[in-house]
Amino acid sequence: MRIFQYSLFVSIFIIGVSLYMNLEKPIAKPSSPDQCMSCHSSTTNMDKSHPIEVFGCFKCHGGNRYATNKKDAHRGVVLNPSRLEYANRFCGECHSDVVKRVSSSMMQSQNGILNVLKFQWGELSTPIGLEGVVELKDKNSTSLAESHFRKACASCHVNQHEDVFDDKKYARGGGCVDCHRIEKGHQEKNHYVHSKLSSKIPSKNCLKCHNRSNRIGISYFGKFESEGYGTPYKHGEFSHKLDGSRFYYELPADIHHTKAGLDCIDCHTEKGVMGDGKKNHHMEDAEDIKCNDCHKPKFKKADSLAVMLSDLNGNIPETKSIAYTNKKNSPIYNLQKDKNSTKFYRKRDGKAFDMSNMSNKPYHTLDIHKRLDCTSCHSSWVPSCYGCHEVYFENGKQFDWVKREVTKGSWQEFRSFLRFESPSLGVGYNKKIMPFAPGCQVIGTLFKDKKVEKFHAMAMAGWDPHTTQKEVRSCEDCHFNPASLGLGRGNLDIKNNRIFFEPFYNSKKSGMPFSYPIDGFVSSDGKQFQTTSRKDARSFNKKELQKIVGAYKCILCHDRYSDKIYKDFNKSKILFNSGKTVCLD
Amino acid sequence: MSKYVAWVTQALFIISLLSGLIVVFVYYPSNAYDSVQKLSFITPFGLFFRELHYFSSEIFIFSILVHILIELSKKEIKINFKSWIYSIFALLVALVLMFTGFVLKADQSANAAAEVAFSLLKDTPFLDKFLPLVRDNFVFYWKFFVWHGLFLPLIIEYAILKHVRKLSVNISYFTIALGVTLLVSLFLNLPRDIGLDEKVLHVKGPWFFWGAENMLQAGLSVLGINVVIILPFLLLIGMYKSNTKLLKILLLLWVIIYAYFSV
Amino acid sequence: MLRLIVIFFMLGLHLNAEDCVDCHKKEAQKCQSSNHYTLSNAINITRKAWGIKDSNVTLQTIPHSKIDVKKPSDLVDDFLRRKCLKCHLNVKNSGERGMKRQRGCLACHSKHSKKGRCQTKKIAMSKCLSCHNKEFVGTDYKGLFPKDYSHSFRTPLQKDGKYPSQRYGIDFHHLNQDIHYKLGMSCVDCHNNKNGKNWKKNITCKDCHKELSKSNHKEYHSNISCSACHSSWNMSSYELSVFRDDTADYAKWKDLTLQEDAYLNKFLKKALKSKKKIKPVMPDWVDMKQKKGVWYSGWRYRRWEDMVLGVDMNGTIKILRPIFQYRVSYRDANGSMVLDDVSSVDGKPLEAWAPYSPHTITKKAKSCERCHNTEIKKGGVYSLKIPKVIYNGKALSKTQTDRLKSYKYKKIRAKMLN
Repeated sequence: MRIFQYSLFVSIFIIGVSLYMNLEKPIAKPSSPDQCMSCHSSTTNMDKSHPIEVFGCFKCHGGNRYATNKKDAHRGVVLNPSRLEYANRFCGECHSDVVKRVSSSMMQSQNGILNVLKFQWGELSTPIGLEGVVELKDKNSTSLAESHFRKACASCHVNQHEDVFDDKKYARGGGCVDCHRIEKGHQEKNHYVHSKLSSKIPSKNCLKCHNRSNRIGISYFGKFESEGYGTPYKHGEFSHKLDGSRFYYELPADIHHTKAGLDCIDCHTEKGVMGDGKKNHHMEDAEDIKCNDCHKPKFKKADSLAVMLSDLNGNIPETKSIAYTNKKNSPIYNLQKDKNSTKFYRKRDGKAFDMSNMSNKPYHTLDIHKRLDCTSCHSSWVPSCYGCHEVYFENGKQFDWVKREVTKGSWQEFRSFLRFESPSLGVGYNKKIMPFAPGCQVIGTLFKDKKVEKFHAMAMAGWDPHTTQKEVRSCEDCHFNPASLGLGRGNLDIKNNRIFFEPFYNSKKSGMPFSYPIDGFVSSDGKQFQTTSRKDARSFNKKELQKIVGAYKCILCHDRYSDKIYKDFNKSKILFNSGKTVCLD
Repeated sequence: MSKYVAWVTQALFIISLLSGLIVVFVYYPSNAYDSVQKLSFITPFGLFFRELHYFSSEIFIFSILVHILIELSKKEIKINFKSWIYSIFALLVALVLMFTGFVLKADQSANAAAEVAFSLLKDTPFLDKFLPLVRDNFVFYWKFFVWHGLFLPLIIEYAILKHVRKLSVNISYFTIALGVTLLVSLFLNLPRDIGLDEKVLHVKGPWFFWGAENMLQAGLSVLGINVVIILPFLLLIGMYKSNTKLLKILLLLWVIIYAYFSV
Repeated sequence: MLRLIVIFFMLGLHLNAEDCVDCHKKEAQKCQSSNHYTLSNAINITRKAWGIKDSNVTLQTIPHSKIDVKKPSDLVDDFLRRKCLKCHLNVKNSGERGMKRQRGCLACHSKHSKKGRCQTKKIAMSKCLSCHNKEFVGTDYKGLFPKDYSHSFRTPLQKDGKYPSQRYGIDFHHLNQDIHYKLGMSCVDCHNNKNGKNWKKNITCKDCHKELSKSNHKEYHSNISCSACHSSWNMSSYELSVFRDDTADYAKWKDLTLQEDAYLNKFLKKALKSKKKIKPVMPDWVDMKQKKGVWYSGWRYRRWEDMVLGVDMNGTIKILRPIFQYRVSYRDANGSMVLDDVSSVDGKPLEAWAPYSPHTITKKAKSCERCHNTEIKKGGVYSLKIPKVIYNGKALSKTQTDRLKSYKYKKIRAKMLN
């Protein structure tokens, strides 16, 4: 059996070679907590709660934690585990409740926008019930509103892909990191700086998105999106840039910013921002905080969440008694009460501010203004963009932010004019009187293959403009200013208890398909011109208009809240009308 | 030649057995995937022994097939019927051992394979009663581990002993078997483990299962699959009594059809 | 004779101006001293706003700007020559829609027919509006208010998807029209030369409206101009930033090619499209030569509903308008900023205002509140709305402002409303 001997010989040789090769192989040194650290040892911590020495890389990024070569180790690695499609598996292992809530929250779905848009454009009978981005993902929609949503609105949602933004300065999205990242990861000379995450979310993260439409974010900081002149010119360039070709000018900022430098998160609670797990239809449903929660607080014992949050923050002391929101009962752990004082702590750095409660002066207690929302008096200005001329080119091409590719059909936006002075008032979604501004006054022109179609959907909307001031508007600014009453800019007068109003703006001549003035929410006899997108929101009606303007003749002289006629104004009016008061003699 | 292959096959079995004895020490059914990864990447010589275990087993199966082919090409079967039955039973157990071994590596493909096997069992009359023998609701791999690491080796050893009558550890054959295994492992890689988090479109079971998988996909019923699987064994049993051309052709046909579906 | 020759040269150097002067010697002489001819009002008020004290030059005597620029006043003549003085009787017009007209006498008057007779005696409104457009008096009579410059205000689009074609180099909002316009009157129906008066300044409402209907005209408001109450809206244009750039930096203006200047619009469009480097040049509209540097401009904002009162030289209360509240920048050809957003004259801001008469008259006067409730908020850009310097007039006195809120007023008003 020669073949037997040969093969025996060869086998011995092979065994020798193999043993030699295996003995020569370096033996992997185990590193802790996972093998990733044998290469990535220089990576810095992302925050104090997730130290790499304990968590390692694998826990958050996946891959193969034992592999010692790049190819095997990186198989299945997720660069950004906080994207919501991965977050459940990674972040959600500990924060499963939060991931769940964010995934169904309004900032992820943008369903509020789609609800209102489709309702206003006549594609939905009630402005509720849609799923937003999620439902458009696998859909080929032919609807006009959906097309507009895809090409404009959908760029801003928490789970947008950061890499689709050409200008990385304005990149948004990325899941949890959209808000929680305070510094982007980058390579430094001899170590890698991991993205830094924090629960102390800087306002600039909020402003990545909240700077358009109702422009709450920039208004809070006293920025009003301007007519686009970029004036004054500084160093031969435009100044006051926002982004793209948008500019602003400075107006008085919100007192919470000017006086205490508060950030968005100082008021907006975790539940209000990341969702409460319920399906909300509009921003105000999701919103948690109200002025009263801090200015007329109810203190209770701090619950475990409050303790955890203040501990996580690190700057805010733990006390027994903290305030809670009225609506969702979330802890306002930075508003605390001890024996002698009530203090509000700024989350950014723990700076304490003495809180005095809302004054009990007549203006807050009298019945005459009990229907007023705080914002109706305390908001000093509202960014009002009149006329949103939406032009659609059927044969154009534009980026679809949901599908993330260029598709057929493009939109271009134009406007008529901007104002910030004398915000219009109306009855808001909460049945209280609050400032209103265009939201949105769509005048659409559709350039289709061979024909041009037109439509218009004029709407006003009420919101808290975040331009709060301690000083309020004067009595006359509401009671005899046509713009504030919602009539529009023009000349208002009363004769024989009838309201006369002559608007300045001529919509028809200016090319609009309607005859009422574009800044007119309501006619002088109480006919509402423009719609709203909330069940209870509306303009003043005839009775209300007459009541408001009717009070003006008293206000002329009785221009103080402390005036005794306001103690029981109805009674005073009866007395006056029956000639029993000495007035005007 | 025939004897030569038989002895090498036996040596391969012993190598597989011994290398299995080594890797079993670092395998933890409750933490299966991680322990396999740890074995492969961190334990000194872990990958060497895992490869040895894997390739020796694979070559073992191949050499059994070669052994059968050689024996069938002869005019008559020399062993008695009882021994013949044990041999076929050993082949079946070897395949089950291979399958349980595949499952024990605990990656995504292993999980999928186990799930497929469970549902096949569940839908098979009579065999469904044996499902609790492999399925464990607490530690997924525990029962596979027990079968693969303890009972099946004992059973196959018994069957092999019945088949060969005497167990001889000839150092020369052992050396050759080891050489062949190492040679193969020098040129081939272990099929890569598919991480539990990885997103893959399609996972496959062990190679001898591919045909069955594809037949299932093509629409064959569970009962049909059982028939397909059991058919070659029946044919082999039948061959003892009448080593006719017809049965050989049928077996060849089966191999061709199964190979076709496998690819 | 010499005088005649001078007139001959100055008026309508081309066409048949000599024909006019041959017969209309007297009128030509009179024209020479008119503001239409000298443009001294506009020139001197702008020079004053840019820091030249006691300016007294005319279109004919306006100097060239200094080459060595140190302060805004060193550049004002260049600005005037190249931006403002686009409209003078002899200018060779750049031909934007609505601004096309002939020169010399024919700028206003129509040509004689071959028979030697005037085709129409009445000067068409379009002739007046070819200069009196955009800011303040003129197009406001037709209810026009210029839209903001950015392309995002150019709406509604035409049927072919193109931007609307602009008149006078800009698009317009349509606001309330003057009642006289609605009734079919044109400019010269009031601003005429009847009674031998110099037609621009001295025409008053009372010349026609001799009988005032209501007692409150006399009782309370004897010292107030008619337009203060009877104008519908008025124009407040806040803070004009102007920038002369001698470098070829055009890309940033792509959304702002319309700056109420047809030459600039055309120039920028060409420069933005061209692959070659285009030199920054703009004509001097007085000597009609191309000169280096381009003037850009942009507002802070403009309003039609703001109303600020002041007193004119005769002591009459009038509506004020900002004299543009200039901020000046200048970058020379080397790219260095000679003036970087300078807004001061001797340390004072250029926040100058002047009284004017809006031509947006309505029959029904404003409600009392439009004046009596005037309350300008302070802080931020609101401060632009507070008149600090008033040319050709002064601010309301303390007694006058107190009177706005007096008890007497309140009582009377309350009675009216009751």
